[in-house]
Amino acid sequence: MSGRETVLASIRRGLGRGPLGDAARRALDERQGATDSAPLLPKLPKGPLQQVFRAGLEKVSGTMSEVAKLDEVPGAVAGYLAGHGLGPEAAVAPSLESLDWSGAGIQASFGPTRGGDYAGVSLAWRGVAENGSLVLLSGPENPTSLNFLPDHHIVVLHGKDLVAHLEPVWGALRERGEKGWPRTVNVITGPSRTADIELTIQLGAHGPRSLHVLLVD
Amino acid sequence: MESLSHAFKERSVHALKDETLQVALNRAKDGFAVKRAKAVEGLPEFDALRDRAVAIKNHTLENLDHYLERYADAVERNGGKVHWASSAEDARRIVVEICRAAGAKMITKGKSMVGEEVGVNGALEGAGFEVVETDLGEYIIQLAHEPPSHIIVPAVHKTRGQIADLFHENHQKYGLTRKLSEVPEMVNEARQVLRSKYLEADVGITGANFLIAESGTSVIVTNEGNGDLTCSLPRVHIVTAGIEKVVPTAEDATTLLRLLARSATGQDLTTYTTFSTGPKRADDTDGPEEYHVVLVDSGRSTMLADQFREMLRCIRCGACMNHCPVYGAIGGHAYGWVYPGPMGSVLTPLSVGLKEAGNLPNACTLNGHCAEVCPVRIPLPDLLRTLRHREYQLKLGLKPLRWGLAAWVWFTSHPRIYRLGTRVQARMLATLAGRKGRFTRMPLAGGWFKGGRDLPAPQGETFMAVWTRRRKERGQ
Amino acid sequence: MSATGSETTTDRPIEHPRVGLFVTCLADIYRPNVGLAAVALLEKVGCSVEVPQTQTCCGQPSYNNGDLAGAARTARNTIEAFEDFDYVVVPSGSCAGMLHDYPRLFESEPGWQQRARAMAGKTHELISFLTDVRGLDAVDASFARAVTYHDSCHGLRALGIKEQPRRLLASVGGLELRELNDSEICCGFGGTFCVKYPEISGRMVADKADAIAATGAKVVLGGDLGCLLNIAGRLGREGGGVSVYHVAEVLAGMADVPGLGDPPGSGGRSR
Repeated sequence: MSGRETVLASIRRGLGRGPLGDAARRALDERQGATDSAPLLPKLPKGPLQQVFRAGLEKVSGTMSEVAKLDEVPGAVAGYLAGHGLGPEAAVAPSLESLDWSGAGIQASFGPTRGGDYAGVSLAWRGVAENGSLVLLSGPENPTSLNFLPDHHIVVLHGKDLVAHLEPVWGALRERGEKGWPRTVNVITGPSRTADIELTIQLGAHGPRSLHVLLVD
Repeated sequence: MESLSHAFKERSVHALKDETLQVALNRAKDGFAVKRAKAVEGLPEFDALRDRAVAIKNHTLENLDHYLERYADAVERNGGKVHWASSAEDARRIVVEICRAAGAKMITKGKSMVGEEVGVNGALEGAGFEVVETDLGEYIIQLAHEPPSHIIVPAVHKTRGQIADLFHENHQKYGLTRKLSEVPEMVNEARQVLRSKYLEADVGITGANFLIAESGTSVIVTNEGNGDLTCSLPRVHIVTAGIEKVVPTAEDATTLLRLLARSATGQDLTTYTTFSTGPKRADDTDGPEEYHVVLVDSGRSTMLADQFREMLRCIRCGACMNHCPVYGAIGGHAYGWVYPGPMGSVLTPLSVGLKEAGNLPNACTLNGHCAEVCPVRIPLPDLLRTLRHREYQLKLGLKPLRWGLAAWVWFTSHPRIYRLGTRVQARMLATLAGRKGRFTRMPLAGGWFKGGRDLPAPQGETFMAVWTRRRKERGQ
Repeated sequence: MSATGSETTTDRPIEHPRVGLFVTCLADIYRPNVGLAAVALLEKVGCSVEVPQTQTCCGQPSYNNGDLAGAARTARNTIEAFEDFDYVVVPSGSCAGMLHDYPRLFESEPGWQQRARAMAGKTHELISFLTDVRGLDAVDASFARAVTYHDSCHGLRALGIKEQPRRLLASVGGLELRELNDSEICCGFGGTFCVKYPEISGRMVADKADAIAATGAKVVLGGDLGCLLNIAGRLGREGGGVSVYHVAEVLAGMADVPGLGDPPGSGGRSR
């Protein structure tokens, strides 16, 4: 018997029954999640989603600024780097390659990083107001390494991509059809932190020390 | 992992006398409970979400074979490979084989309790691999050659000074020779050392907080980002997960996520919630080339058969130990195996046997605080009591206690003799205590006094005697 | 820990209910004054109190040490003694909780389980019975002392007793309640736990004593004699002059005797 069959047989012994029939399995597949009902979505504080998102982000030590158009992103990034005493260099996601980075005085490299970059710039697929979270999908356009290796992580988020809860994100992923789930979906809520030494919170454990959102709206 | 649970009594007494440990435990004591209470207060739907979580877990467990098959098929569709481990031994062998086949030298690990349970590190080191834990807490205890003392804060028993010593001793080989004293510089130094390990590693091993059946996705939550570096930089990613981790959909996982961090650390959500689905795609520029999942049974399927199925709802948040006064007094190591506190006191005897770990379910006052805070409403005190019942039936407990109980039951089911006996006892104890009103010692009752307390003396007459006399006086 | 039989048998209040007092083995042997206080309080709320002479122990020592058959034997004795009353009242959250758990002992004896369930449905802890069933919200007693209150775990978590004793204490003349930090943390008694793991239990009760000292109150009240014996034992060892009473003694105006473990003849604290 294969490992799979051994474990499954043992589970069925524990459950006191044999394998489920096709009809029963189909019925399970047709359920809307385990409870076969719409998810229970917590009520969010009153106010526009952007405001709720910002409050969530700031609660976890993230920061946010707004730009009116996507074209303004390189300039805003240049301002952020200068403001943090960093040189005008950044590892940028290929999804943002078409912007005029050199025009803003930034030496941008496009693609994954191996850790030599102080700043990484990515594009979020969705923002979630509930906790001020960013949802990033991996792919050639958005390498995952940019989210974790640089000290400063700057994330571009379109206002139209802001949703109230995580659940609609899963719905939207299913609608991607063939492409379905990417290798990685990163839900990021604030900069890296640890409390492993004497329960003292320290930012920048292994990932970015700071997280900045550029909201394009 | 080998169990030391048989030595619980000695280890707990030792822990109570360990002053450094007591300093660390006192620091942790209120922090978690206060933070959790605040986080729960901030989410009015918390209790309703708990009910949902219970329903999600119960339904999935009832159909566990179905959802695991759906999960495994989805993983393979995405280009990953699923390995089924019936036992801890199977799991160790499978992980070692994957690493060998990958030609690995260096392996990084994200925190995985099931990894600790089956003893992955020992097996890999035995097979000649270099294994580096990357969660800061796990890294610290790896340097100290200790098991975790808490399931979410593995080094909670260590003080800053002890950690500084460990770093000083172990980081010199990297040219880091200065002795540190402040938390930020220690975190930075660990970051620096571990950064090179992530980039060097051939294989990254993580656990999973949830497995999503519909998409074949494994979910991990971390605050440090170590889990992400572990699963995205090396060539091979191995996920080790208990079979009970599966849920049908991403929405189901999201409901559980709303409870997990709040119950664990009092955060609304951890910093990084990462959903991994298979190896890198054809056009991806980063990510692992191989994605393996090791599904571990190791006794879990047996728990499906009875009351202990409820324990399989556990999402490993640690709230039960954070609120357990016994854990708070002795810390996690005294329990002697991987899982400490109330959840560990249920799981350990089921895994290593009641003969080995019979003390654990008994070392509990049944105060119920753990069940009150459990996000998936596991009736931990009831399960502990059931284990005591098993122990009693197997005649494993202390003999004098059995005899005492038998005598007490006989006594309590013979009311007339009971009345007489209690009268004599109350009168005698009151007389013996004399004008002091309490005892500072007493033969055969050493246990009570060993707890550093006196025993108040009875008032003298039993209530029943007073009552009977009164009724006579009133002529009733 | 769960209230298995929480259905009440009576929808409308009975004017003069017949109440069976389950005094508990600890009150019977150690603190008859608690039983007398319970009787006095019950009579004040219009109950006719009876004390079955065949009652013994609730069975917790057996139940919590895995001897379910032994616990069932003790439980049968309790059921036979009490099942005919309108209510069964217990001056202990822990023992009342045990009576609520009786139906679990008779999974294979439907007849007995039925009787256990019926009795559990009309069993109450004393203080919550006074407030929740009999509508009492003030007592006629005075106790001019600063006191603190320990919430015993079983009463608190299995029966939801938290606000009721505080409501009644607020009506006691001259009494000042100073809330105890960690009042919901177990004192370390835990029945046989305290003798099986005396070192751990000792640490827990020492922490409790520290919290009590921090309030500055010289009197500790609670609703369960097991916990109170443990706390009084520790406080006595420390010799800090803190007295321990069951809350019923204060509410009935009967705390005019030495506290638990205080020297006999050391007199009433107040009246």
